[in-house]
Amino acid sequence: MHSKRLSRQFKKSFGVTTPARVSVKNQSKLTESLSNFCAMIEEEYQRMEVEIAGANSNFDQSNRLFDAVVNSLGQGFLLFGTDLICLPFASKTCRDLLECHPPGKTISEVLKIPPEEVEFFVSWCRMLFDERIKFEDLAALGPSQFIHSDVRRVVQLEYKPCRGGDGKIWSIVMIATDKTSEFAARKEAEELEDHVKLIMNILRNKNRFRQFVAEMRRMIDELDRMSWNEDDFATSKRLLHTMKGLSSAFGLAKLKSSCHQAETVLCDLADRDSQIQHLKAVSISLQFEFDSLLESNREILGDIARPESKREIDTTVLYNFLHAIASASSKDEIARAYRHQILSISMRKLFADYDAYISDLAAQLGKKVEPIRFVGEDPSVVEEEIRPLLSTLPQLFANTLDHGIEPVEERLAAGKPPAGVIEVGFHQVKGTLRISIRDDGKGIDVTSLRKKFESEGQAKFAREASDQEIINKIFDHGVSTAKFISEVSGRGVGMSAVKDDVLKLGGEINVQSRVGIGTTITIELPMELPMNEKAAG
Amino acid sequence: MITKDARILLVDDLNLIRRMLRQCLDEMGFKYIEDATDGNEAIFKLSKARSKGVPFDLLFLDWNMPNKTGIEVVEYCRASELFKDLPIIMVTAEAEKKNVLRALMNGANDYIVKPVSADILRAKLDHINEQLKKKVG
Repeated sequence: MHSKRLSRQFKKSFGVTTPARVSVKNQSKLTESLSNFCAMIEEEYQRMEVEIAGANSNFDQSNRLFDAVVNSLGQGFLLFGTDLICLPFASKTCRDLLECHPPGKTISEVLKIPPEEVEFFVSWCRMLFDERIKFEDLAALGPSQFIHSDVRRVVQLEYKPCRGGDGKIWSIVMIATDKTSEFAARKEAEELEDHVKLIMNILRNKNRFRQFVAEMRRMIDELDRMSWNEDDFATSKRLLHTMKGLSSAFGLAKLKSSCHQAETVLCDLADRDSQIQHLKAVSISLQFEFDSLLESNREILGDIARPESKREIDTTVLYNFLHAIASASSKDEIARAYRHQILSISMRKLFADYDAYISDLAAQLGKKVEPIRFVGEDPSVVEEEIRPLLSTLPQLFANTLDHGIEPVEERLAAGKPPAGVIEVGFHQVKGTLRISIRDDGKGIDVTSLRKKFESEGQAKFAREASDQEIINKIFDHGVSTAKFISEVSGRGVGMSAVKDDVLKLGGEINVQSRVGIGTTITIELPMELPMNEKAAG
Repeated sequence: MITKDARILLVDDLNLIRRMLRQCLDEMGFKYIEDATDGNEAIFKLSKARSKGVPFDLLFLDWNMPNKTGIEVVEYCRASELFKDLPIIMVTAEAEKKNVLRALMNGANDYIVKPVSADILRAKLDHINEQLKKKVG
């Protein structure tokens, strides 16, 4: 526009459009024309200056707006090019989230990639620019979190491509987002859910929880009293293991992991002195942890958590008992009625209490299992009398779930239903109660156990023992078929602890197993069963 | 180019995963699909098919297998004159990021995360075909 005006003026002044050859006849006219033209140029120049200033200010404004938008998002934005150096643009939040001002630094510097991994990281970046694989798919393989020096901060990283006119990626935008509060909120919600679950669990199994409290106190005391010979070491290991199982049964995640940790350290320590010191410290800290747990839940738990033994009894049971007393003809008969009606409880009911524990544990192991199936009789027992068995059950089930029941994929591949089956049967014969616990898992792999014994210098035994003798070894200290130690079992303590508890009751324990079919544990306990007495009376 | 007539080898020690993949590929109309349960068997089958004149056109490869891991198979193929251009897709679990990346750097063409769906598989194959076209062009 303006240049057109200029050229019009030029034509008017000199009679031609191009100033190639201008013949001038009158000098004064030329001077006038030139000065007119100069004024015109001057005017044009000023006009353009104003326009440029206007455009500049527009540009500034949109730049400021862009900065404001980017900075107000509270996210760290940065761009890096094919040389992996950050371009001179980064949002202010980078200083907070990434703890540096990225421009000019390499992206691996900004993300604090450890020296031994830089090469790997750089190859990943190069592949991003190559796009041999789809950008999003490859970006998903890169670092997704920034390791902030404040460990509580959770900074998530995302990557987006910037493409040029030819469709090729010329730079990559990295977006850092602060997820700390979201993460904290989720964690808090999970903790709350766990807590609710715990309370529900306790309220549902009040009697069991009361026992648990008593058992835990007894075991913590016992730990404290250890005097340190080889037996004590094994016993402490077993105690910690059982406490872990019990805590886990009630969903006490913290207590469980404390026990697990204590157990790990104990196994790692080489000399006796440091083991003793460790255990003293453990018993004190467990005591403290346990007390504070009960204290913090006292309002809800009320009397349940009191150490003295208590038991809830249905009023109808009490009336029946009174009726029995009224019609009794001898003291013996009253004692029998007391034992039968007040103290005894159905075996199936006792075992069914472990369903929640079993399904929870299975979920932790990424497995599925159905509620316990019962077969055979349903004898009543006096709970007090088989308490050692009850406190060892979590260990037994943990072993079954960890080593017996396969993961869903494996079960399906073997043509089994996705959820494992645990079947419990009771049978009473002449003062003996037989409990059989059968699973449909993968069974005990005798071949791999043989190899294990061989590698442990028991070649003769490995060669000559029968399959059954090999299988029976699962009850020995230090034998585990697990390839790695899980939090659940697998330190070679589990089944030996179960056996110890059964022996304490004067019972026997046996195992039968077939690879691919499953394992059956049979426990026989000498027992005066209240039902038998009634039958006899 | 990977067409519906492509010969495909699925390598995974778990029957379930092979079945899952096979079902997807069936749905997509592929006709020639074979199985191998570990790395050694895979290499054996690749060579055998090659010597019979009916080589495989695509390999789905699990990461974690007995005898030879997925990455060892990738390394073997890329070092061999016969299989250096064979398209390989790693089949992986969510948690194996680093291993997948290592396999990609060693020459695997792409990866898919279990469980596999036909849609994702289709997108992956399209992408590989594009890359193959570029290579030829």
